[in-house]
Amino acid sequence: MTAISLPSLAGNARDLWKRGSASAWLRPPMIFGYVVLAFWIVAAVGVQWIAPYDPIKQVGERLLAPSGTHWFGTDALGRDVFSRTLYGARYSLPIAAVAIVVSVTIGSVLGAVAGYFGGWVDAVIMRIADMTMAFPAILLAMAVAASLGPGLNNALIAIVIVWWPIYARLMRGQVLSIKQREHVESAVAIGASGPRILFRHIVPQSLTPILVNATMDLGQVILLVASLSFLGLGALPPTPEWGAMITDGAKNFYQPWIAAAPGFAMLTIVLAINFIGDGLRDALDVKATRR
Amino acid sequence: MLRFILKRIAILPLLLLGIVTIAFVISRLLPANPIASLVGERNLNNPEIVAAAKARWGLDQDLFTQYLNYLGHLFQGDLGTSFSTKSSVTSDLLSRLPATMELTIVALLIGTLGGIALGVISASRKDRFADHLSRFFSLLGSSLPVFWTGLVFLFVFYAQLGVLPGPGRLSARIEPPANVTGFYTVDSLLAGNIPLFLDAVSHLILPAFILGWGLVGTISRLVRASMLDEMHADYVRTVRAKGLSDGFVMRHHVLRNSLTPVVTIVGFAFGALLTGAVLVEQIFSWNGIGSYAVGATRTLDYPAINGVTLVGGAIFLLASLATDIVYAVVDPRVRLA
Amino acid sequence: MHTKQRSTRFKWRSLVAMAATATLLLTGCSVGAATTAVAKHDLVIARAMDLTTLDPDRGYCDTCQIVFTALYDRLVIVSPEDSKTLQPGLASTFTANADNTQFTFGLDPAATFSDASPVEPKDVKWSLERLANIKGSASYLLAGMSSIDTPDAKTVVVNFAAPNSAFLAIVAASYLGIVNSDVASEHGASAAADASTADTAEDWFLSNSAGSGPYILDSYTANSAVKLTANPNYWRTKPTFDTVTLKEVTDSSSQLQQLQQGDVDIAMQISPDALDQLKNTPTVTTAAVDSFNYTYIALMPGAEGGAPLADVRVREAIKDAIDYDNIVKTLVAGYGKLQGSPIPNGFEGSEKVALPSYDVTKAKALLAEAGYPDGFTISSTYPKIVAYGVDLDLQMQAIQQNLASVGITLELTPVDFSQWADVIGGKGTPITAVYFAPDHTDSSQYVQYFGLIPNGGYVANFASLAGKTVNQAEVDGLTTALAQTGAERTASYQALAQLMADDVNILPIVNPQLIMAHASDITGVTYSPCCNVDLGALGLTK
Repeated sequence: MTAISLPSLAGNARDLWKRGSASAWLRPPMIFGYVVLAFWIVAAVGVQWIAPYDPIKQVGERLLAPSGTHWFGTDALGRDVFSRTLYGARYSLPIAAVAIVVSVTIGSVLGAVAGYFGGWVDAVIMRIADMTMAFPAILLAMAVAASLGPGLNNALIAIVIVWWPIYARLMRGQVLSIKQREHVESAVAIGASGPRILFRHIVPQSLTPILVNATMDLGQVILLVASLSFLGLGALPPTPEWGAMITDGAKNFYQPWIAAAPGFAMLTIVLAINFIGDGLRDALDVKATRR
Repeated sequence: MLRFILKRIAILPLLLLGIVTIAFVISRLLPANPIASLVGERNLNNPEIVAAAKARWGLDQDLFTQYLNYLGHLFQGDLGTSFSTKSSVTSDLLSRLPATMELTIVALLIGTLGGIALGVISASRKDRFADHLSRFFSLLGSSLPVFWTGLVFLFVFYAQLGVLPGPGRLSARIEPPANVTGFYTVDSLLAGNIPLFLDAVSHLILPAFILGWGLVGTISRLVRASMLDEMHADYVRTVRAKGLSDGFVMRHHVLRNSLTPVVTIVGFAFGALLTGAVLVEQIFSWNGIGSYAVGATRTLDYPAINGVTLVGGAIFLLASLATDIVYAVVDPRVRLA
Repeated sequence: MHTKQRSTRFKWRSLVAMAATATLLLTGCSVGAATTAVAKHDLVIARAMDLTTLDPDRGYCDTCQIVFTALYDRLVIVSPEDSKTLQPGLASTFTANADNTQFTFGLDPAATFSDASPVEPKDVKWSLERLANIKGSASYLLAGMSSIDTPDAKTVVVNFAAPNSAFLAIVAASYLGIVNSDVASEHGASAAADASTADTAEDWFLSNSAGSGPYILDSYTANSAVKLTANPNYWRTKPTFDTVTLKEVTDSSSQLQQLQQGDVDIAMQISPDALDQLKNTPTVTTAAVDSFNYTYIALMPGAEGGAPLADVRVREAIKDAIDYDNIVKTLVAGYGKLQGSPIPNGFEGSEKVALPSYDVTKAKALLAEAGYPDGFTISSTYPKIVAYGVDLDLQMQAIQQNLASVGITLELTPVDFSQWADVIGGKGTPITAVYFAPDHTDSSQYVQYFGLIPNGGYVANFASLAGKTVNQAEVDGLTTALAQTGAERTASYQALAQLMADDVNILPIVNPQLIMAHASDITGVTYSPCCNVDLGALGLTK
């Protein structure tokens, strides 16, 4: 549920509920999604009480296979992989969520402005969006992350730069179609101001597809954060970020447990988010426009 | 229609110029300077050597002059000389592009065929076990980090089971075929060398499958949704009423009409596959433009960074142009804005 | 209608056929792989390569050493048995004058290039001048060279302004290979004073070689493979193999796998962790041999944020706070040694310096004395590379934990090598971690790079709060050593090693052993400090 009660969207949540029947929100895959997501949120918040070891300290022999003392074994420095994997939830999920919220905000505002005002404003914003989208996402993110230097915060900035145009396009399309509708025309007729019409009447109506796309994208952004870390442009050592842990695992190919745990963790969380997003899409009957 | 297409083509050079400019600006905004890696840290204290390297690589001019020089050479098809391979970026890209293309095209085939198959199964067995299973498999594909899947599959199929070969495009002792298309599968067949062909194919299986799997989800969902729409369309009821078998109706009418949206997404999918290829090439030591791009970023190789972004952007633009055109052709109802 | 229906069916059937073909291919390929056992005329080596050029006067890297050694013979060579002894190469005689300023080489009349033309004094003169004038990374090797004379058809005389007793060892370095000047000049090479801009042969060297070594360059694909073929006109014992291919295999686990499966004959960067795994493979021979490579951390007070390091007690404390034995155990599975000064174990001068030891109590006391009882926070930018089996990232994380136990917070920023070089060339970083591998067999290179001397390495730029720092004792010591030979010189280098250790700017961490892993029927896999592995010496057991 966290995913749909994002602060900027809270006002519209009631409308959302109205549109799908309760059962559409509680299909088995979605319930699985909620449970897994809840698990990871609890893990992220309470990890210092759950994790058996300090994630950045050498706590045992190196490269130990999974056992009773080290459930997922130890890595090349003798750190507990289980504890590191749990701590990893503190990085991937919040960073991806922030990246999405910022991208949605920037993209939606620019897209709404472009769609509502049209003309050269529209042309400028959308050409920039087109060009940004013409770069293969990872290449642009890599170039930006490389220029800002490694680090999770810089990776976040890189992702926002790559991701905002998607929402700008989406919002623009929505605004264009809603602009024609009667109640907007009547608002114009009674003399409401441009920004007021845009943000009181048009934007709220456009939020549903944005929300569904944002949910689906959250999973992709988690993967992108990890990809940047995997390429050495994200988390700094000894941060137990999942992508970086998989890089460590790749270096120790014959100790598969090092990469297995963080990869599996990432898989469950992204799968959960995709289940929720998939369910949302069906429940709200949104035609997705994805790149 | 023709006007729409011409308009799209006319704007292409402008977009490309934009991409070149953005790529140039981004690479020059990098806070790090390649001179240190060009001369080696040992020689940084030697002003003579530093000056010689700057002069040789044109880094002693101001940014705007560098940009104009770059554009000037670009119009002659010259993308400059790579700092790290010391050969022309054009020839570097030409020698690596086929590797990436071969991988992405096979992945595209796997993704599209797999996606259609799963979509059909899902739609015809809606809400039954097969539907759930195929939807799960599809979602799994888009939830997996490709670099991790690559590792896992290599560990299982190469290191443990030994049924598939490891990283690389060919086995270590096998020489690549004479270069015609640059696609090892095609070139080996042209040379009539079947063992070489099989070796190339076996090396393609894992990376192409992992790359294609991510696409399966997108396509199967699309096929499923549009097949379900079509199945409830009036004409299907009419055809059924005429007494034709369900299977025939499915194959002949429903599937065919449901494939239209697939055509439109394939262009975009190609761009997404290129992104995935960057990571997959890393894991599978695939000497394509993805690993070239990673290497270029790592070594601050300006000409290579610019070249690879330009080519990547151009491919993406062409793919979306093709998509738009195909879309307009197959579905005239689309409003062309 | 009917025909149409059939065509639809056909499509479905062809899908099935495609799937069947795919299955066949799958099974077929494993058969294909099994039948590739070929008589060994072609040697395949797996290696993570760092090549950026194949121009013998522009390259400067570990793989360059291997390839250049195979393609370009040098005037003298390092004895495979004893790295301190030099043997005749292209020069059958080589002598130095009494004050080590003039070196005379008598060329072997039998020596020929790969195009069968003789190796002449003009080629030697041209090659050395080109290396010096091209202003590349290895040009420093010929610093101070004043002139080259070619008095007759077989003699070359190299003159230096100041004594340079290291020169004969330098001449054996892989970067001093002799190039066929006629052939190279034809393709744009230049040895003139303006060679750094006038020379346009770098591109040509990517697909050609012009040397007198056992192999000639067949082909090169960046990031993929270097293929060498036997030089049919080689003037010495012809090499065993028809071709040698160096394949780019980036990670050590793939190298291991390919060696075990017989895909490659030699794997050059097997991780020490994998050694146990190979012990059970009868077709593979492994050995851990002492190397002259090492990783170190540099402490640089003059870099931005490095102020706490200005006090030598703080640097001593850091030195004592590092658990060296644990790092050797953790990073290279015990296959490594400790090292006392920048002059590595086995090099002249390294003999008497004390090895570092782990003493947390002493470290804490030193920190308190220096006014940092609660430690401090300091940052470290370093290249994220694996150097000779040592993963610098892991090394720094281990040191991070060690320093944390004495209150020092170390913030790590691993970057790519080129970005690291840029940092080092700019505002610096207080603590960094890198590696060093020798270019030749003389100890002078360590003083030139790590000593606090004018025009030294990057460390001298940041060695004190004032930035550029000169330790006059080291400047004088080096001048003295370069004028000496024999036991006198050894004593001078011992003193220099102690001086550099006392600077406490360089802390060697691990001197890893080199893991040699190769198919059991390959012989001659040895490591030399000047040239890495000599491909020309590789053979097959009968």
